[in-house]
Amino acid sequence: MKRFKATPAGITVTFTHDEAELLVDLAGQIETFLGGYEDLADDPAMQRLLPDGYRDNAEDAAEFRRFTQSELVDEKVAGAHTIIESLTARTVKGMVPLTLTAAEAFAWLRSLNDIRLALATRMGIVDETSRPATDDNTYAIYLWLGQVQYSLLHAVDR
Amino acid sequence: MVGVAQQVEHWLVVPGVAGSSPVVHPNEQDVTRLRPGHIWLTGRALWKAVSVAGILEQTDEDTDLRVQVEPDRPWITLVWNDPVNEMTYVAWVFTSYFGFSRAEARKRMLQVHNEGKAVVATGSREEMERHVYAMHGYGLWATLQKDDE
Repeated sequence: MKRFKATPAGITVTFTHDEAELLVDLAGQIETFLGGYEDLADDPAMQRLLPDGYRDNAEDAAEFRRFTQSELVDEKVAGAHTIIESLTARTVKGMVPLTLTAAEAFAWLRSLNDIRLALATRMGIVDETSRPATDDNTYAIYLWLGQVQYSLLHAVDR
Repeated sequence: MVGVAQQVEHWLVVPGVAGSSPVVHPNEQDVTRLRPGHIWLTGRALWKAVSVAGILEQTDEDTDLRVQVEPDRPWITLVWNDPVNEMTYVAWVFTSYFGFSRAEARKRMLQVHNEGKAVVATGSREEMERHVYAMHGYGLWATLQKDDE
């Protein structure tokens, strides 16, 4: 990946075909996962993506959930879908060049974060000294996503 | 005793009328003018209104339950530390959503990081619920509670 750049036309970046495929795959996984939020309410990754709004009051937390959760899921699914749409069928000589609008960049930042949160939960990263309990590949992907997000953040927030 | 329909109408229009305007039926409101998050708050308010009305109908006296007003203490939105969100991302969320200056956003981000949590907003319960919802949209771990100080 070349780093994100703010240009008059929008925020540009170029991914390799493999990187783009990986992002589409992960965003698709998050989309599918979130779609099952009602059945997977006890899944720690779901709980991290859709946390309680009240810390010490289960009744208020349940009520808050009841009135916010489906909308929050829709928002997150739409964000993941933005990543997929940006990346689909745009390969040029093995590379995927993109120009994102501000709104798309906003969705990317948030959805990349959702993917990182879910991966971190799956890897058992529970505090700042945690090291992953899974294979190195997943951890490498997690770190790479952090770099993608960081680069995009610097292009957006200048 | 006010009927359910009237109560519901009252609840629905509260956020838009700011006290003085004539009561507008919800269907006549221009929904596009409403701020994001308004729709579900309306839903919550609607549910509250319906359940309050339901309780009132089960009692002989219709006066007592209405005085159970919550104490006039503000609510706060807290953001909690977590090991995943990057510091620069959290600071960006605070500037882009709350409109904090970069210095203020950084200060609160560091407070989250070093002290485990920070208060990022104070106000009514409904406002704090909207902020918590927004923070969850960004993937930050946020909760609301009554200010206990």
